[in-house]
Amino acid sequence: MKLLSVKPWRFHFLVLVSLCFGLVLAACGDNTPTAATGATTAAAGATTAAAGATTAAAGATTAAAGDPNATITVWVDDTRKPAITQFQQKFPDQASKIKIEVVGRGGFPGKVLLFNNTGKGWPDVVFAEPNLVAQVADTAHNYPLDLTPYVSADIKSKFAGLDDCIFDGKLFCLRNDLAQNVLWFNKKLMDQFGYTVPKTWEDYLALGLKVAQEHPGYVIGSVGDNQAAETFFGGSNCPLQRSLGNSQVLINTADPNCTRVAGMLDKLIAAKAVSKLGPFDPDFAKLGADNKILMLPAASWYGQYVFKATYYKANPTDGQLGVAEPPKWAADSKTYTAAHGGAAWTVFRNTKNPKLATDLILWLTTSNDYQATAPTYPAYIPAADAWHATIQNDKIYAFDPYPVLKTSASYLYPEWSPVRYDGLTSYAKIVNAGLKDGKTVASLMEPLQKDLVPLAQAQGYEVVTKSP
Amino acid sequence: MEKSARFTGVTKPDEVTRPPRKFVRYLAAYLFSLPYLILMLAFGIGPAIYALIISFTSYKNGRPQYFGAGLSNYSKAVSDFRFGSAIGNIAQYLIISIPVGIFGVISIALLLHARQGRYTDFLRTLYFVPGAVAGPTAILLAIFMFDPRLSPFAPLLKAFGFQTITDVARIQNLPVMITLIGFFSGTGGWVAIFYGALQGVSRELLEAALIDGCSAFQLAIHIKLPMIYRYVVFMFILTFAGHIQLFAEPLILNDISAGNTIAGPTYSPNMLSYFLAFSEGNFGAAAVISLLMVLVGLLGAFIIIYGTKFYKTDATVAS
Repeated sequence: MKLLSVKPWRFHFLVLVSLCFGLVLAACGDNTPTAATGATTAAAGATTAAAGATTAAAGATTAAAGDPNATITVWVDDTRKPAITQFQQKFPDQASKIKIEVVGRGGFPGKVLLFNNTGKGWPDVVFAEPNLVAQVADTAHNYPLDLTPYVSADIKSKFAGLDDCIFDGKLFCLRNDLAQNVLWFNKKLMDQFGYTVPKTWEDYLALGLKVAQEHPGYVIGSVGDNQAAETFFGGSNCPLQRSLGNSQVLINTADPNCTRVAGMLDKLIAAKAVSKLGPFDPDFAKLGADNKILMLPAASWYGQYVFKATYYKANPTDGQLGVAEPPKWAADSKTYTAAHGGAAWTVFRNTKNPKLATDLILWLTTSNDYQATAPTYPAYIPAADAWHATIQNDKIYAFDPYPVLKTSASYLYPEWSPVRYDGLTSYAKIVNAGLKDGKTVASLMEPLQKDLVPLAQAQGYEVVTKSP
Repeated sequence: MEKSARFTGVTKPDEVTRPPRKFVRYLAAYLFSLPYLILMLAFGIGPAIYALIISFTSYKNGRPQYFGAGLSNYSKAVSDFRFGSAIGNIAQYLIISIPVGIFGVISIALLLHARQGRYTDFLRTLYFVPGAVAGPTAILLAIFMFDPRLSPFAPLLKAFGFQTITDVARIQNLPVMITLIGFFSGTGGWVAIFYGALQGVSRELLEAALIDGCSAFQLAIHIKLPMIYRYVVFMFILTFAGHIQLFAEPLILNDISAGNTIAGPTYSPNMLSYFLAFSEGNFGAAAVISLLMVLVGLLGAFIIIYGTKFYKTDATVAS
């Protein structure tokens, strides 16, 4: 028993140790060539970058280098897959060079880090929101191609909302669609109650308090999820996420542009004119079905995808949905509006076929072939004018909503900018959750600041509270 | 018994038979454990060693610089502003889930064992059924169970003052919610194990206790429970190691709100690690947190094993 209980232990131990040792060796053995390949790829990358720099210096017209026959991989969602297929049908000679992959784009920045690690696998063209583009534009990801040499000034000037694609002067994406916030309203009810659509947030507040008195149960907005950050705070030029270049961000929830929103919302919430439910909560949808939504500041796609598809689905009510420009603060010289959604196309810095990749995204964003019938509001203004036909005669609207959507798109402003951290989740965690606990928006402004600042710092931003 | 007699037998001359027998015996043992060893090396020890290397690695333009970070990843991870709350959350969850899990499983197993028969067998199977629903699916099902509008437990939820799912799914309720999810999907398996252990308790002993006037309750507490305590320790180790890795439940529960904010993206240490790696691109600090979880799990297991003489009792019982 003694013999058996001592020696085998040592024996087992030795075997295990040598196995582990072998594994480490194997891992190192694996690592060395990878590291070497990595270095080579990095060197190659450096060369490409250098070549890119030279070409850029030589002149914008000859920017397209690389292999015109190389295959490119395109990452899209299901909704936009037909767009790529359409391109392939339109340009059959290019069709075989495009590989489509349908992905959940939330994981895009993380995947880029993994590809950077392994030195291969990057997609060439990606459909993603500008805040994802912001994330992959930092030095750790180092992903996007500066599109400046590929897009003419004329084309650039015809985009709305392109500011969200410009990072430190570089054009890292082209906008596909816009989700500019507007003021949706129920025209039939407004007429019936004898109200006029508010042009300023002050009027919006006054009307809300009046509705609460005269027609309790009707709502004029929702603060139940993080879209409220965009509709209300983004609609007031409040510095929640004002990027000042790649390394600095201005966050100041105590700014008067923020506190005026908090004050307004607290009064409207107390009067129950603004609902604490989120616009996608089933109970809020029930308000819609019961025709209790008098007004709703929300994104441009709400008409088709929320009012038509959800709120008015059970009791189709034709000709009652109206749309107005987002309200303006009386003291401001102009209207500000943010967006909830709206994506863009970005290209990989080291793509083997920059010509095809950039041709593809230019076609996707500017060609009427695709954009005129696209599911959401096109960012390219001439394409948007063609897209107009898709909603012009929709019976759900009280009048043609397009002119209002178009003007509202011009109110998107660069100070409300995509950043590398997720400020919206922070807003939901602090403000939406706090409201459910019965706190006021005003009392949550300071905790929000405290939550946002370290989040931004973790992403390498220096946080300032005043405009330089 | 026969085995040990053979091993310790002095009748056979050792010097003739031992060398080949030893080799063959060990070869067989290694062949049998080889699949496990390979998988453990590939998916347990290997990744842990890789994490150890990554924890000293810095990244430049997305490229790893091995051993270029020194200890900076360690200080970064521990001083991260979300680290404290992640540890606090997991502690809160462990304090609730482990006692509830162990107490619940023991109670059910002892109750089942107290009255045996066809009805008990049926119940045992019934307890096992939810375990057949795989992890994430169970969580999705649970979301319906927690929704006062859809749940069969709606009256109970409403009695607590919950009207909608967003009233229920609050960060402060998460430890209890996740405990319930884990309990209903995991209990059946553990009850089967404990029931099996109870079947191993000698009949003579139980009968003797009954003859001595032991009540069913006393029988359960004073006779059966001490006989299966090693299984309790075993369950403690496994649930501790499993629960400390909390990840999927808060992640999926996040989807209840449009803003993904029921638990937030950094609720537990594992979520923080994932977030650091794939949202912030800090693989080094993420590796540090993963290693920390390994360390805590191992430490917990060692304390429990040596504190309870887990293996010693096992060997004594076996021989």
